Amino acid sequence: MNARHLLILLTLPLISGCFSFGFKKPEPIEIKTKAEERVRLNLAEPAPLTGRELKWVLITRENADKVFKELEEKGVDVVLFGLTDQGYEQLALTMAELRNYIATQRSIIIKYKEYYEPKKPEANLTK
Amino acid sequence: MGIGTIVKSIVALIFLAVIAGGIYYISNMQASLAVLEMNNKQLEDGIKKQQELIEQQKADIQDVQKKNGELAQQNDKQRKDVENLSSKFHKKDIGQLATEKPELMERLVNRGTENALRCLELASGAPLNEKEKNAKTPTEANRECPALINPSYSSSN
Repeated sequence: MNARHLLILLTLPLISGCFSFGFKKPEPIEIKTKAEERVRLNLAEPAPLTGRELKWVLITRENADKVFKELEEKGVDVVLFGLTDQGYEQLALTMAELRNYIATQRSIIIKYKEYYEPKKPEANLTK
Repeated sequence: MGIGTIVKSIVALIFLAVIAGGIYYISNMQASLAVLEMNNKQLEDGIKKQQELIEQQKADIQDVQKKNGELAQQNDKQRKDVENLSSKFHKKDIGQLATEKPELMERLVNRGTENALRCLELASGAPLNEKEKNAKTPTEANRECPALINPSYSSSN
């Protein structure tokens, strides 16, 4: 064996990848995930409206005396708050739009609640 | 001890060192492989969780679209209710009718008001009563807000 053979033997570990001085062992990775559910808002729904009884009285030139006489007989103040037919129409349409607005807002709230706070079968903690 | 013996000893030592290094390397590699396998599994789990999250997001998007659609449909029906009321006023001159038949008009107006107040109750979340639940037509239930009485009704009926 001469110096050439010795050189080959010495370089062998280098080319075979066995020269592992300074070789860094891979560190095990750790993935931590933690999902925390937000505290539910649980706002109580407001009680639905209860409509109060409301009666309209129609007055024309012909029946005005009769209507006021009936008011006197009932013992209520002899006064009426009036609207023209156009005013009545405007009031009716405004009420309808107001009603739709309330219904839409309520639907939006319900849908938000359904989306962000879906019902869970075991979530019924209140007895 | 000749030079040949020294060289042979050195070569033998080198061989031993190479073999020892090889054993060390292989054992080290096996440990690394185990760690890498574990890492790989962790990454696969991470990918799986990401995929689940993507699926959940897709379902959420569909849910949002569905809810938006439902809301738009409800708005459309409610808008038609108002349009129907407006067209009723345009079809008849209620002022003239009231002048000619005040008692009839008074009854109609009071009935309409009663219905409208009931509609407000329903809009604010009041439950349907039996009559409204069992109603087969909008007229039976409430002329003013069929969309609120039964969402399956169409105001154009």
